[in-house]
Amino acid sequence: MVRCHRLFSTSSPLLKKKQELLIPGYKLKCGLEIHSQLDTKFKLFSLSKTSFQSTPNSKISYFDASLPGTQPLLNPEALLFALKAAKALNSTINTFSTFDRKHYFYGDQPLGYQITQHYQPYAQGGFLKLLPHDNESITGEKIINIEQIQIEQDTGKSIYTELENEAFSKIDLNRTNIPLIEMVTKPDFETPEEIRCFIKKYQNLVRHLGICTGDLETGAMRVDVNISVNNGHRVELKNLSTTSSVINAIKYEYKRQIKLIESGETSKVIQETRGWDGSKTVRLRTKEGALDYRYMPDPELPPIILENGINESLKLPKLPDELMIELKNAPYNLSNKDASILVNDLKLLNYYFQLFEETVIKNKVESKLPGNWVIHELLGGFTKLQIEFNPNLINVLKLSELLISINNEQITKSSAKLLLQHLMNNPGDLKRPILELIDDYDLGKESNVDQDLIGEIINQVLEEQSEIVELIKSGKRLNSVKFLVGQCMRLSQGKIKPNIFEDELKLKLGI
Amino acid sequence: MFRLGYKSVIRNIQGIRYLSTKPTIGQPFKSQQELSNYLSNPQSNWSIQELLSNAGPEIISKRADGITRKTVDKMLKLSGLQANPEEYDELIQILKSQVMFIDHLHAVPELEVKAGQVGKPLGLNEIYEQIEQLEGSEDKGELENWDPLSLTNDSLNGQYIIKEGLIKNK
Repeated sequence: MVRCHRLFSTSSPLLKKKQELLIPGYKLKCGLEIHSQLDTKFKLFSLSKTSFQSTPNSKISYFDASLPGTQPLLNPEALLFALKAAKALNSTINTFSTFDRKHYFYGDQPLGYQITQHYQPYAQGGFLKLLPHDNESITGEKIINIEQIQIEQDTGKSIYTELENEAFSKIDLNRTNIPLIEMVTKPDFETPEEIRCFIKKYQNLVRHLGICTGDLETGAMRVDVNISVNNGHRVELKNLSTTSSVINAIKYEYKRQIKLIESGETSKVIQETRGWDGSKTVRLRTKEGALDYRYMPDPELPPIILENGINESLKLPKLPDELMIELKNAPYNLSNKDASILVNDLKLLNYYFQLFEETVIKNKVESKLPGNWVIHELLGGFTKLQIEFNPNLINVLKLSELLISINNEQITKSSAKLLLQHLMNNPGDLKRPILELIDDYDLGKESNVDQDLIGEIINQVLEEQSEIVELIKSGKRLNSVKFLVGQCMRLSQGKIKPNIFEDELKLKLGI
Repeated sequence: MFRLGYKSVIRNIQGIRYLSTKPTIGQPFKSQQELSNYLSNPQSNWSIQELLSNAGPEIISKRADGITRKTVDKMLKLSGLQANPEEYDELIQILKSQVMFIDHLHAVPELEVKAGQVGKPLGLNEIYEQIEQLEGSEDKGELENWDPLSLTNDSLNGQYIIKEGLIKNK
């Protein structure tokens, strides 16, 4: 009997894992609102310094504290950063935009309103493409359209404190008036994975632009989600401080709404704002309780009037998509995975490019070496030490010295790995030339190979690994010869090239 | 007569800010007499009372007519304030006057700022130049030259205190 019904939707070929996450018959639709703090030197409408870890209330001007008589003045650096974001997101930059006041009464906003761009934002439209090189789950090209981007002020921080006899809020205004851009997407997301991919890509984009640290954990970037199932009422999810909380909240809310629909309680899916408490979404307010922000144009701020063609004259650095293509092609020829590791870590990427220049371009080192050594050996070393990558610990020139020695066959790769590890543990030796260290620690590759020594080592390994030898001889485990080579390398302390052992072993084993 | 009067006055008032300014918005009046002279100028043939009323032949504020006790309730909630029920009538009257005044102002088309009316369009070079010149000012308290907590009686570990707490999730 032929079973011809489909077990899952095949309408979108974009996500391989889509069917695992979504329930057939229940279409998920999401949009994002992402607030990003612009990493400017000064605040948005005053010239007090921006700072993320200062003593509370130490970085505030009279305007930030809303003292009477103070006025806002737009910081041009915030405008420049915002323009860069708009260009990178393919948005249309409006040559005329204005600021508005969004009123609400809350202790973290002493003005009584937030200055934002409600009626005429500086940028509209645009898109970000999710591509297969961003995430293995994406097999096609997914375009996420952007509604608009606006410039606005951040608020202060309030910490609610509840004691036995009283409840109060502590207010720190250092964050007040730090510039933000709010980017609003269209509801183009169909799976949580697309959202995860988008957030990561957007974070990386703003880091490459040098306009925001992109960190969700510190609050430098904040993500709100609009979610609906089968085009039902839209629920807004807030207070999501990590990517995993964004994804978990979406999954929970998707299932919650489906449960209500299935039990015939569709009317309970209402337009509301919900928060995430770590395990479930909880109601914060309904549409009826929605705040009336009483928007009005800010009479103290002039419109931003930009020259036509400012978009064309704005130059951006190479962006992640372009870098991915570059790294996967000559002369770098990296794998998608390695290219992605580099593109997602700017410090590491710059380190790699410098190392490539020093070794491959200037010293004709084999082109695969810099990638392998940066991504696998160097990063692995930092992981072992349990510290973050720091380009100054093993600087580019030192690692290039080591790679040149490998390329010149002055040290084997395995001895070089030992030496790198030693240098990371003993930075005092970094001042000494690599060749001197090779000599001192007797790590030099044997230039005149001692055939007797090779024979002794091979015999010892064949004796110790007799079971594996039998398996190889019987033809069952031919590949295990590599294991034997590894054992020989260990005994020789990596000073003899592995292919010499491999040839000898094959000869002896008759394979 | 009234209509022509207040429109021209609004156009000529130097105190209206169309854009961010330096602190000075005109020479201060030096005496009561100077102020009286200014206000009795024949050009100033307008009356605040008229602007606060619904009397203008052309502008009838529907918004003002719609202000009720419910509006006051909502405004009080939004502003976090309280009022006694006996104050409501007065508050309704005040709100109506304010809305009517604003509607009169909105009826002046010249108040709308249009593209091209304010300054020269900003180019990228100007933006870069402006960034180069950015410097905090002591006069604006931008150089950490003041103690923000000196203005409050109540603080804790360098933080302002708001009693009775705030709603946790706004």
